[in-house]
Amino acid sequence: MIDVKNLVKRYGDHVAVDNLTFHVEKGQIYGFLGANGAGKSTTMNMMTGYLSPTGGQIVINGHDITEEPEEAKKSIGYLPEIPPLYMDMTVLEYLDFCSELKKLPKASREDEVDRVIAMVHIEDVANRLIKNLSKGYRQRVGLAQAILGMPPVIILDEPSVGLDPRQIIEIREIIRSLGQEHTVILSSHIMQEVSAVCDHVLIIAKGKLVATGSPAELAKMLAGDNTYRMTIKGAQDTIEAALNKIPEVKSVSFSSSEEEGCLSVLVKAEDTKDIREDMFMELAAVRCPVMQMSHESASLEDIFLELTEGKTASDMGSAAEASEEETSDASEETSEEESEEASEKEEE
Amino acid sequence: MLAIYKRELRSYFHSMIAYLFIAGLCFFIGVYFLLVNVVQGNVYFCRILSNIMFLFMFIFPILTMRSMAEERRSKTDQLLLTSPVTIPEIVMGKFCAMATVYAVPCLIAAVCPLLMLFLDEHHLTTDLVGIIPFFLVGCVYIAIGMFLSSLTENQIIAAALSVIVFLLLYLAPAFQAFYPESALASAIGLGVLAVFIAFIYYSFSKNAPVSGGILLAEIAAIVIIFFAKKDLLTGLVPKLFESVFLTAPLDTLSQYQILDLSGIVFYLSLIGLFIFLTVIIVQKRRWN
Repeated sequence: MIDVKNLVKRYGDHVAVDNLTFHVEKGQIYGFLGANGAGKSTTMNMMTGYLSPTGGQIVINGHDITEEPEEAKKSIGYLPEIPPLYMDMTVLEYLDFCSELKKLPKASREDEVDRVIAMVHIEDVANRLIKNLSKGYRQRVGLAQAILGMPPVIILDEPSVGLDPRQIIEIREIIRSLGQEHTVILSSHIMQEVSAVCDHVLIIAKGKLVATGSPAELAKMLAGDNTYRMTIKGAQDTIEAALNKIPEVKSVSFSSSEEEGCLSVLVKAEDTKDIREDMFMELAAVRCPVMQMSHESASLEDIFLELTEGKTASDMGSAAEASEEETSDASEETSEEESEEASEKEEE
Repeated sequence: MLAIYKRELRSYFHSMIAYLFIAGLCFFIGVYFLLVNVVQGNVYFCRILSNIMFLFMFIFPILTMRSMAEERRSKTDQLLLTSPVTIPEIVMGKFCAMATVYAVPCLIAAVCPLLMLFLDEHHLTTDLVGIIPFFLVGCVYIAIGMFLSSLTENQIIAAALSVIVFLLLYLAPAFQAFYPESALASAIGLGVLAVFIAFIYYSFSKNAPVSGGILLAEIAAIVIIFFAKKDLLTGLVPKLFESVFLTAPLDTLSQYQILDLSGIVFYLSLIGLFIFLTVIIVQKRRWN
């Protein structure tokens, strides 16, 4: 469907997109995840033919965007970060203009405009001037423009930015329904958003592809072990033996504590369950009082930020092919962990 | 292209711009017609058309300033450039829409020669034909204004640039009359032009060594010509000024009743040149 090979975009000395290569399959929802300024918008602008790449190749539906721009652009619907709306037009006028601009067959234009209006639920404002619409409605008009004419590829740059929570849910539903017939590529800097709607995620940092995979694969890679930090009174051997009775515990490390007769203990455990109660019981059994216990957790965003700022594709490999080893390496390096919070979020 | 043309035209007539522009031009054409043809009794309507051109520098920026600049400011250029239309189509659509707006006062102006049929002496054909170069000169202004608008995303800057350039065009005859004929004066004039060209090249390429090289080569060429073939330089700059007399074909028409075809070709080539330059600017921006 879409083939991007060695894509490079340079602004003077600044490299905005650095040798990006990826492949997009038909009929799936892809998410570009990256911090602001990671090169998501630049990549999308190049894929849609708004910017010219400094190097590399983009093939959309069999048409090279630089060699056959018209044919390639016909198969793309694009909603840029700021919806490209003419404030002096009504919604209906604007969509009519877009359908003509996109060279849709004359006979079907009217039906097509009606169809997209119904799809993004803007029937009520169809005859209003765009400048009088709220941000949420403008975003929807922009989305309507992008899906006019049923292009096989729909590219959405931060479609939910600036919307209220209810509107975000609505937009996500629209995107999900689009994903059934179209290939959708959307960008976001919010991990949850991408994992909520996308079948496949591409994480981009500093113009490079850091990791790709399904949200589940990425979550597995991003999620570290459970880490518990405790202050325990007692002898090191006793404590270690007691904690190692718990099957989930993977490692126990000790360091000296400020409190007299106490040790600082760092326990790493598998994230299958919360073992705080088990640890308390075991330690109580050997009469080692727990002075302090904290469950360290980092949000998905923190981990994602660490991942995008700390590493590049070469050290990381892609999650899709990542072996168990690499996964555990990665999680050790990220050193943070998240369990409850992440699982709660996933349930949501 | 048709879609963009229709949208632009609608937008001009939805806002005040088109009405302001048409009303302004019609008002001054009417005033001049009344004063020159009716009160003073001049029998040629096309004479006033060349007089009116001094107003162009104020009136045309109103029309052209937003053409390309606004598109960039509101990011709607993303819609146009990612649609299956080519950049020349976009630029032509916009140009034709502005030319259409300008055609309205030109058609209204055609009423004046018809009114002159009531006078004893009238030159209907000459006056009606005179509207053709008048229309084309306006189109040259539109093309230049559109080009300047494509350089910036600020309408006001686009308008200011247009006024300056149009003012220089208007003052070209005055410059020519005052400019010394001597070879040295021409050499200095060309030197200024050389610096200007090198600067333009630098602002596009950001390549200091090459721009410097171009400047040095140009100055070297001027110096060599100055010492080797002084005659070539004598009166060269005044001649250059003469080449941008946009009113020349209209003046010929009103004075000698001759439609200067070379003038028409000159207008058409200027229009083509600036449309082409606008396309280049838009195209080039995609590469930065």
